[in-house]
Amino acid sequence: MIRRILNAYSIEWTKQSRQMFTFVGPAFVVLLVLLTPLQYPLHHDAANDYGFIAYALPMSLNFFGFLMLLVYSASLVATELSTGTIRTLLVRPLRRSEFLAAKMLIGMTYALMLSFAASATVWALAFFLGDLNGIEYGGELIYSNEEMLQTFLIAMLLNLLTQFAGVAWGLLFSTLTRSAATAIGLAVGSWLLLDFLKHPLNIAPFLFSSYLEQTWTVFADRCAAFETSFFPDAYYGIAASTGAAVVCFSLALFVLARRNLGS
Amino acid sequence: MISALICVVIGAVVFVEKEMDAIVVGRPNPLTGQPSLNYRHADFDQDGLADILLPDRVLLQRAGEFPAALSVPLPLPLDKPEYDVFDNKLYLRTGDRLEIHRLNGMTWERILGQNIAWPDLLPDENEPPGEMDAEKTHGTLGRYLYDLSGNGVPEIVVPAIEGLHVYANEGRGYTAKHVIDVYPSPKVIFPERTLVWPPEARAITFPPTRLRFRLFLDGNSITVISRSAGLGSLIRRHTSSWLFDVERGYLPRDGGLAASVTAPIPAYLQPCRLNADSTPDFAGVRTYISENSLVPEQIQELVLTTDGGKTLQSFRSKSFQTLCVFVDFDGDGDLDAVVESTGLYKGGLREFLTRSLSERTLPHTIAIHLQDAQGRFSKTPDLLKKLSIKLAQPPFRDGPLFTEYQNGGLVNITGDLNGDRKRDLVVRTHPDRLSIYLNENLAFPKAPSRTLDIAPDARFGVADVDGDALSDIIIYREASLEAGTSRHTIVHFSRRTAP
Amino acid sequence: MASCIRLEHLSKSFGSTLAVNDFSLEIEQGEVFGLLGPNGAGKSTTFYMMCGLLRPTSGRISIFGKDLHTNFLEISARMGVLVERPSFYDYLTVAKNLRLFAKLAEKEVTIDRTLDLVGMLHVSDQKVGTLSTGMRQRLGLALAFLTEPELLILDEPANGLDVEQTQEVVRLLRRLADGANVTIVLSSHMMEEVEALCDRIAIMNEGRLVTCEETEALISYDKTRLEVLMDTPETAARRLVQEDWVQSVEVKRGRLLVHLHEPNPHQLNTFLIGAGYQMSGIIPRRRTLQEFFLKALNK
Repeated sequence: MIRRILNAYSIEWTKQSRQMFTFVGPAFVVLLVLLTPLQYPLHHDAANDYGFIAYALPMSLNFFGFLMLLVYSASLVATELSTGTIRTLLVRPLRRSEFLAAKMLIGMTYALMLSFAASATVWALAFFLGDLNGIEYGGELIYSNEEMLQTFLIAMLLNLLTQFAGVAWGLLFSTLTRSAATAIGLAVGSWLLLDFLKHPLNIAPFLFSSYLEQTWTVFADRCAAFETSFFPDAYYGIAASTGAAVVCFSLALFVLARRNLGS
Repeated sequence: MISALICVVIGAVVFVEKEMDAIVVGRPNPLTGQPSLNYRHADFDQDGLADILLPDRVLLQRAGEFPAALSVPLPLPLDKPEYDVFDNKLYLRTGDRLEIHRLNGMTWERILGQNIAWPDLLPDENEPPGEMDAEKTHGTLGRYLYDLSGNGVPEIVVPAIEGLHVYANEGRGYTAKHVIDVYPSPKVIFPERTLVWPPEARAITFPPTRLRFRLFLDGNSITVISRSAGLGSLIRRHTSSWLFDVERGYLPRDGGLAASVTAPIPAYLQPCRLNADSTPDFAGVRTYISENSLVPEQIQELVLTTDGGKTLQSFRSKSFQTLCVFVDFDGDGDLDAVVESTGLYKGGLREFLTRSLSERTLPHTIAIHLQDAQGRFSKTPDLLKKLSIKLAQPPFRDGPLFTEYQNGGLVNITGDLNGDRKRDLVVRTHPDRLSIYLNENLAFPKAPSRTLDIAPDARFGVADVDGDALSDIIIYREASLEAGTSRHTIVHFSRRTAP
Repeated sequence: MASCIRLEHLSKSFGSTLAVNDFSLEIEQGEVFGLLGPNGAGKSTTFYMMCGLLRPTSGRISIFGKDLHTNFLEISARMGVLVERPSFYDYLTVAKNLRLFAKLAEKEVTIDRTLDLVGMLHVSDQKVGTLSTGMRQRLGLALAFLTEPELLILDEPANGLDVEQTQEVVRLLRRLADGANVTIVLSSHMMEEVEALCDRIAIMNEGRLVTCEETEALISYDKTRLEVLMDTPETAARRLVQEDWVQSVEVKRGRLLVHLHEPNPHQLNTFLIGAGYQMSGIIPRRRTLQEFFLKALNK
């Protein structure tokens, strides 16, 4: 099963890597990061520029990049349904669950691409145009460079988990309709609606996207020498994201398994 | 006006609700927790119960109540007087006269009346005279009586340009005794750039001088704290204290002068008393907007020093204004730090936007850092209380309650409601509800100990109104009228037992 | 012969519409089987169920003696499928498309040989999006053949192909069936192609199996309709029309067409010889699949 999923994933990757659309998202987040110094100037002035990283990443990756991720993942299955290629695929020795798992992996790869593109750019800018020294407050070193890097990596990992939940969300809507445009509209629209209504509906703690920028706020706080911790908020984020990913993927599987692929 | 209405029992505390429109409780001093009040306490009728001295009358207390029939107007000479009270006697100071009255039954009995030419008062930058004062039909409550000699007869101290004028009563009324020159040297203020062209604009500007200092009187001790330039945005605070010898005509006692100067400290640190030791303490709150976040997070930084600026301690939080940053939380006589945080910014920009647009409930955290015997505040909070504050409208609607929240007016930890010397917490958790959390062994219970109703357009304060050493909760509503402001106040008196 | 496909009481409904109704069929190994029916008869639905794209509402599908749904991976690995109007990744080349799909089968494949088989080797580096409908159909066939399957399920294999290409495909399939013992199940609107290729034909209508016959049995000769090759058909016609065992007589393009009441060509032969006519032959008219099809559908 794992081998077939990896096979299907490799096929998916071959397909996706030959489409311009795949690279639009990462290019967009990179562009956003590159434009950030206009808003948050970087200088070699001995002032610490970790703040630039904390400022640029959530904006590019989680504010705009997440929308790209939803668009991308919502189109993954719907495109196959609309063109009919799913029939050509699923008459081969490949289960629908394996096909969907490969799609999920591709969505996760896309999330990684977005994160890597944004992170690499933001660190490069901060490193070459600014100064990255340890975080001091009141003359005391609060966080060393190593600790800041460690914080960044933890933040990124936790953030990826929430992004993966977003992939599963997009994938669910991708299985619901044959039109990629409709799937994208539904995935983005329903998420925005739910995100907006989550507080009046009292579901905010249970919605994965409530934790999307949470990890970056910890990084930002540490940039400002606040002694903050990822936990316990991260526990809620992990639970909500994992839960959402499992539920959305299972629902997508349920829908796809019962889907009439004959016409 | 005064009506005993409802008694509510909470634990060992009972609330008795009364209408008292005359009572005005303002914001507390953030560094001391003392609210600004429009009244004083004194036992004018000598019945052992504190009466309330208002700027226009005295409300006499009977069995915990202030009956309307026991409201005594203050003696009002032609000139609007400045009232002060000492030893249950009322002192009136007008432009050229001093009177002392004693309450006899329901009337004021003048026990002293004399003319005195008071010196010109030193202008106080912090309290400019309001325009409304001129329209007032009554006097004001002032503070000019100090028992420097410790003989039970207060001296009158008037700050004037030459120094502190001291008037003493040696049996035949008050007479000027001495002008105590304790002021620091005035500083030259460099004038604005002067023009040399055109010729008619040329002028020689004499540089003015300015005198800025803080003066504290305590017993026969006078402390003056002034500032001098330090490094960059830092300043040095100079502290001089004198012990006065009354026998020698209020001259400084030999060896009674103590002077100290701090290390450079931030200019916004103000002198205050955080503990009982003789070292002057300094503390201040600075707010700024975070540069590391997409969200314009307001950061509040409390900086303090209890050792004359040698070491600075600071506490930062994402917070709007905190009503009071120091209270004696554990009742040990030393002030403890209160650090509040708002949950409005939690979760990043998108969360901030959705929360601000659609959420009425705001997470709020109160952290208490206790001060130890060495004057150090614990780095990690000794108490952490998480609250949910429900507003009438989401923050972006910018309703009056959110404005009040931003001003720190929804959380009050200044009062001791049950008399255990420990601070209790009063929070407006809902637009129409005050939740009271009694301090139980330096912890607040999860659920409120009691709730009180509050009108959606009302505000609240905490102060001891009836002088029984228990803080009371004052709920008031203000309405702007053409003729001024009308105020409706309900005081929830704390009582140890049910009446 | 062993059974390759067994459909047992297969039904499929879409909401209230019953697309396939209690359909049972058995196809043997090495057989070339044609499934015919008008539009909406349920052919494609049956095909989709056979290749696992649709799950039957009821009934059972066994392929290679195993249940399709519990052994899908094993069965689909031995199966080549051409769905109607096959879709590919238009932005990839022909060879790349085949390579991708072959990867799923986890079998060694020779892309060039397969493309050569369907006459597409010259476009192997061309993007699929630039191919004509006929070429895409051939690519679909190539994909079905790619893993050298034991069973081919072909839905309308001649769709979009011209006459010559259709003939090529028919020859290819026949060769596969005869040479490699591949079982082929196909559906088509082209009766001649089915007739030429299939060993057995089933006709479906309104979701039900109408008839299922050996092709040879269907394609018999009608001995009541005879064509007589002779020099003087007109005079013979005048004589024959008077006989009561003759239903009708017609002369068309110099040929005598006789319709008898009974299938008795011998009687006609005896009569014409007895009457002194010179004949070069009597040919019974051949029944077409189309006639059988229409008859089966009562049209």
